[in-house]
Formats: sequence, C-alpha cells, structure tokens
Amino acid sequence: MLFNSIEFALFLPIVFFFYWFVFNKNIKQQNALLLLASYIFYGWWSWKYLILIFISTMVDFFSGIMLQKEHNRHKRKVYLFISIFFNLGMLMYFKYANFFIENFVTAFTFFGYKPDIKSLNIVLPVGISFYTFQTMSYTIDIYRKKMLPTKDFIAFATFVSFFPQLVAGPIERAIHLLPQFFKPRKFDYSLAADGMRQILWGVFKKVVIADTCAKYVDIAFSSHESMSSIALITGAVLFAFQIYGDFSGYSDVAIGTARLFGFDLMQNFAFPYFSRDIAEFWRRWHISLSTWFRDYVYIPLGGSRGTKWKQVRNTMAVFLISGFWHGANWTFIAWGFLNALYFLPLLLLNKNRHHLDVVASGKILPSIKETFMMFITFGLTVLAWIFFRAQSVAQAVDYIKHIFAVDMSGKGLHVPKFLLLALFVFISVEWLQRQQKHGFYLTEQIPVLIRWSSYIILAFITAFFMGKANSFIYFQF
Amino acid sequence: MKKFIKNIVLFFSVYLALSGGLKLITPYYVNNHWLAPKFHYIKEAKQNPNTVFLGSSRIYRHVIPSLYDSLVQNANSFNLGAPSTFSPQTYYLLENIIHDKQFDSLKYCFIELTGVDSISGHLLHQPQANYWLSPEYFMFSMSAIIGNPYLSYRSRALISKNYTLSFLDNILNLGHYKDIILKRKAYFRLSNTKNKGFLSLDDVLKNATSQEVKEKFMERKMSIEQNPELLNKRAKAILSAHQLKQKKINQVHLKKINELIDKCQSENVQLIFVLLPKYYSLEAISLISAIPKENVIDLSNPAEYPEFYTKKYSFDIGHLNYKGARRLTRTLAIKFNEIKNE
Repeated sequence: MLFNSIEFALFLPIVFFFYWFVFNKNIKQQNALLLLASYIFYGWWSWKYLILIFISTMVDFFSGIMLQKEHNRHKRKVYLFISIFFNLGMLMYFKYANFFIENFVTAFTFFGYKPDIKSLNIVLPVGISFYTFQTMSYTIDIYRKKMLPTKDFIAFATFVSFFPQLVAGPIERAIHLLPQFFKPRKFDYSLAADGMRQILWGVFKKVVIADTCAKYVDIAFSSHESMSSIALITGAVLFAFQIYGDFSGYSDVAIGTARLFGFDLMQNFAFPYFSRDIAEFWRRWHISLSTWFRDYVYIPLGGSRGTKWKQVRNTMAVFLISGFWHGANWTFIAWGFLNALYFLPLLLLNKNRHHLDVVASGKILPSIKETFMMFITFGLTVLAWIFFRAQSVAQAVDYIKHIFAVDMSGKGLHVPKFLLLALFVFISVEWLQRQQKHGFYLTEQIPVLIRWSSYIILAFITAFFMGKANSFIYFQF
Repeated sequence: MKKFIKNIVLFFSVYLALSGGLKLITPYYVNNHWLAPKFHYIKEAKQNPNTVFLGSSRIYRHVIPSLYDSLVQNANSFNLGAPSTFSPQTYYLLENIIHDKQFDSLKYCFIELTGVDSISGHLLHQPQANYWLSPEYFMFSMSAIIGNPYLSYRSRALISKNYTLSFLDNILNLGHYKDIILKRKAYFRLSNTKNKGFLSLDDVLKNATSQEVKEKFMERKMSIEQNPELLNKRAKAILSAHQLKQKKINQVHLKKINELIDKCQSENVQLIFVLLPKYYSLEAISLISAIPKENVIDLSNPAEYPEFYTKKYSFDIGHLNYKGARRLTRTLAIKFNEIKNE
C-alpha cells in the first residue's frame, strides 16, 4: 500500500479509530492491532512477502533470547552469526544474486569461457533492505549487551513490521523504538496535529515535487545524447530534487503517521541541500542509514582511530557498502565511491566536523561564503546523483561528457513554469524552516487563519497532483 | 482527542465545500484531457454543430464528420469521441451537452452503446475516468453494476470497489486540474482542427513524433497482420452474442437509456444509440432489442456487416483503419437516413 494512495487514506483512519477508541485501554491489544495493520499494509503488495518478514522476525526474536541466556562467548557469537547470516543471506539472495551471477558470467566471458548460468527469476520484496537492517540492530545490540531482549513476541513483531516505517525507513534502532511498544500511550493533540502537518508536507514533496520532476528527469536520462548541455544539467538538478522529495517525503509521512499513534521515530533528513560540505551533507541525508553504518560498520572497523590509511580504508568501506546497499548495480557503487572521494579530503584534513550547526543560524539569509559553499556542495551532490540515476556507469559517464561538451544545439528540456515556481516555494519554505524538525512545522503562535489557509492551499495543490499513485524510489532498495 | 477530531472534520468539510465549488465554476468536461480541446475548439471556432457523436475510441477513430455531412442533408456534425470514454461517462456528457449554450443548434446525438465501464486497469485513478462521478452518477453506476446479469458476484464486487475509489477521487479532486496547471493553454489546443474531431489510427501512426508511440501503434497493427485469425475469433464471439436466444437485460441500464431518450426529446434532440463493430459486450448487445427502433443503430453484427471484421478494413483487433472508418461512416449515414425517412 502506497502512502500517496487513496487506499492508504482510507486505511489510516480505520486503524486510528480502532487504536484510540476500541483498544485504547490495553497496550497489548494496541500492539496486536498495529501488527495486524502492518501485515495488511505489507501484504497489500503481496501476501508472499509476509512469509519472509515473519521468518525474519522469528529468527531474530529467538536469536535475541538465546543471546541473553548464553554466557559462553563462542556460543553467543554463533547466535549472532545465525541472525546476521540469515538476514544478510536473505538480502543477498533476493537483492544481489542476479548481480553476482551476471558479473560472474561477464568475468568468465572476458577470459574466453562462457558458463551456462542463467539469471534467477527473483522478485525483490519491498522494504527488505530496511527491515533486515532494523532487526540486525536488535541482535547486535543484545550481543553487545546494550539492551535486553524482549519476550513479548507480538511487541517484537510489531517493532519489525511497524507499518509507518516498514518499507522505506527511517531504519529505527531497537534501543530507541522497541521500548516504545511497552509504554502506555496517551494521545497528545499537539504531537498529532504536527504529525498531520508533517504527513501533508511529505505527500506534497512526493506528489508535487518528486513526481513532477520525475517526468523531466526521465526525458533527460532516456535521450541524453540528443539533449543540450543546459538540458542535461537541468535534468540532473531536477533528479536531485526528485530523489530528495521522494525519499524525505516518505520519511515525513512515516514520522507523521507514527506520531498519530504516539510513537517517536528518528529524524531521517535535516535539510541536506543546505549543507556547506559533504561531511555535513552526510550528517543530514538519510540519517538513519548513515548512523547505522557508523555504529555497526565504521566504528567496529576502527572508525577514526588508527593510522590515516586505516581511516581512509574504513571510510571507503562504508561508502562503498552504503552504495551497494542501495542496489545491485555498479552505478550505486560508483556513487558511493564518488562520495567517498568527496569526503576523504575533509577527513584527512580533519575538517569533517566543521559544520555541526545549522547554516546561517538566527539569520534570514546566508553569507556569500556560505552561499558559495552550499552551491559547491550541491553541485558535487548533483554530479554524484547522475551515477545514482543512470542505468549503467557508461551511461553516467556519457551523460557527464555531454554536459561538459557544452553543446547548445541539442534539444532543450521544457520545464513548466509551475514546476519552477513550486521548486522556488519549496526551497524557500525549507530554508525558512531549516532549524525545525520538518518543513511544515507551525507553532500555535501563528494566526489560525494563516495556518488553516496554508493547510487548505497545500492540500489542494497536493490533491491536484495525486491521481495515480507513483511508487517511491527507495522501495526498490 | 475531541479537538483533534473536530479539527479534522472541519478541515475536510472546508476542503469538500471548496472542492465542490471548484467543480461548479469549471466546465463539466475539463478533466477529460481528450475532450477539453474539442469542446474548447467548438466554442472558440463557433462550430455550432447540429449533430454530435459521443463515445470511446470507436467513435473517435471511426466516424468522419466531413464525410457524414456530405451524405446527410443539412448535417453539421462534430466527433466528440475520446479514448476510454464509455457509458455512464457518455451519459453524463450528454446530460450536460443538451443544456450547454454552445450546443444550441443540436438536433441529433449519436452515442456509442457500451456496457457500464469497469474503470479497471490503467483507468483507475485517472481523472479522465472519474471526473464525471457525481453522487447521482455514482448511485446509478452502482445500481447498474449490481443489476448487471452478465457479471459474476466477484466482478460486481471488484467493479463496485473501483467505482467507490473513483468516486472518492472525484469528490476530493485527486489528480484533477494537474495537466491544466502544467500545460496551461496547450491543454486546450486541438492539434487537428480540419477533421472536426476525427483522427484515424493510420494518421496517428503516420504522424507520431515519439518513437515509443510509433512502436506501440505499430505493434497493435502488426498483431492482426501476423495473426489474422484474431479478427475471426472476435467476429465469432460477437456473432454468438447476437445469436443468443434468451438475452438477459440490465434493467437499471435500460431505464437510464429510456430516461435519456425522454430528456433529449424534451430538448428537441433525437438520441441514437449506436452499437459499433468489434465491440464485445453481452450487456450492450442484449440492450439493442430493448431500445426503441428510432433510437438505435446496430452496426456490430458480423452476419450483417462482415466487412468490418476483415483485415482490409481493420487497424487492430478492436479498431478500423481509415478505409474502414470511411465505410462505417457511410453505413451510419445510410442507416440514419433510413430512420429519418421512416
């Protein structure tokens, strides 16, 4: 079920009603309802996916219990290995099997031998990369004795499949989300109202910004050979807004929806295009994944300790794995590699933690220097996004070549004025709200008439652009 | 919680009121992106047609107004066909057209006879397929689906679901006006003004600028070139539907048809239902015998019109080519002249 669909618009109030009006006196019943709702939400794509998520839940639930019972270090490692092996194995099979088969065949063909191995007919289950990482955090944290396992299977299964963030995050840590399933929930008006605003803003970002940009991005990337340099730059910039609108829009809806049920999910995007360098960008983009990799890959590898060479190796490893996590294609690895190249000079010069605050804090406009730094960072990001969007590394390289060929005779990309206006308004609003948790945070001090007018206008524009629901880009990851 | 619920209810009430108001101030056809340019052109060019053809692509691609005008005395017709425009949408359009000032001269309206559409597949959540679903049309459609004797219970449930979703899409204006906002004046521009709303599939293929469109239409054309048996199969299916001895009639649909005939009559418009070749619907075929003779023309029976099922006149399995369209328009004009002379 897509967030931007009428089905979800019907599903959400039904669950909300039962949650607060029928099962409001008992946490266990509320959890059971959320589990049922989550399985309906996920099974809407295919009931077969439910088998996978159920098995994954069972494996991690029992691994957690065994990890706590067992004191023998060696045996504990075995239990942790079972959990990680199962989760990564599932991910490898469903997501990467064909990638490895195809590259294996290509490598052998290069040396003159063509093995007779065919690609597997596998459908990638939606959200598998997200919930496997979420459950792995649970077993790893128990292994590290950072938390105790739960014996409440329903609560744990709800934590794994919690529908607001099941298919595209934020990838929650068990240590943060799981305890919330055991606390009594009280309806909080201001949280719920802000949740509704965040949902509205998220859907606006998805259907008005991302989906409208997508149309022009598709044109630019499908026939880049015949496009002018300006058109190709426009196409790449629009993709930057498409992917941001798409993914952060999903996160906004997820966080807002969770708030309606009394849950607090972590912030996943913190206005990343207002970053002054790449290190800041990565502290603001897909925060739940970046911090996951920091805690479970980068730090165990040694993090920033040790020699410069080790720091470079660890950074490179994290960016390459992060790229590969996004998809089984060399384009994502190239995207990760490019970001590592951007990041490494800052790390080596100890400048990677220079911009920890919000840009131009307390001011309306940034300084010239800040503007320049944001512009350069955005430009570098856009360049890397070309690899992310392209079908192959060769296409990405060719696309970039065409940009730098400075060809003005090619076809233009006729972007409608409305989209330019919408982007301008969108960027302006996000800029003004950059110190808040999301772009549509409004305090009660703002006059009611202004607040309500903004809701109605935003709702109408969003409704006009809805129609057939387009899937979210990150569902494929 | 009370405050939250109160505010949500208030928000949706304001939204629905404004949404309804918007519908009142915008033209009734505006969210059908195929029809908006046609209606706009009629108004701008002061066409003032006395005959219109309403229906799906089988009207749009098959009825040539200029040829029809040359064969019927004093005719000034316009083709208001559009892809995927089936009943009840055509009925909604008709009810608006007979009260529309730009159709003051209207005397004859040909409307394609189809079964009640299922709004399935690619049509679901498309503004073109739901903008007409007012509460009255929603009620009628649901009754017509439930009362359709040719549908299984499962199909009735699925189609009812599609209609409910489409109705919600319409009252919330989901997806409506988007193309107007993005394309502005271009949205209302009729690309081919010479043919009075007609465009053959051969012309679409010939003039396609996009490779994707070209390939799509070529594939449709080649499907019968490579497998002409498809045409025979379709003809046989339609023939056997015509030959069914005990035809069950969708009474709800029939009642609506009779109401429309009466409404048109009171506005001095003669309404003629046309069952077009290549269209297979037991519901529509069974209605033929129940509609008054002066209000119906059946061109679909392969026993009477085998030529419409030949490769010579076909573009694809469901449509005629330009030659076929000429033949069909000629036959339609002859049939209409017969009704007029009776």
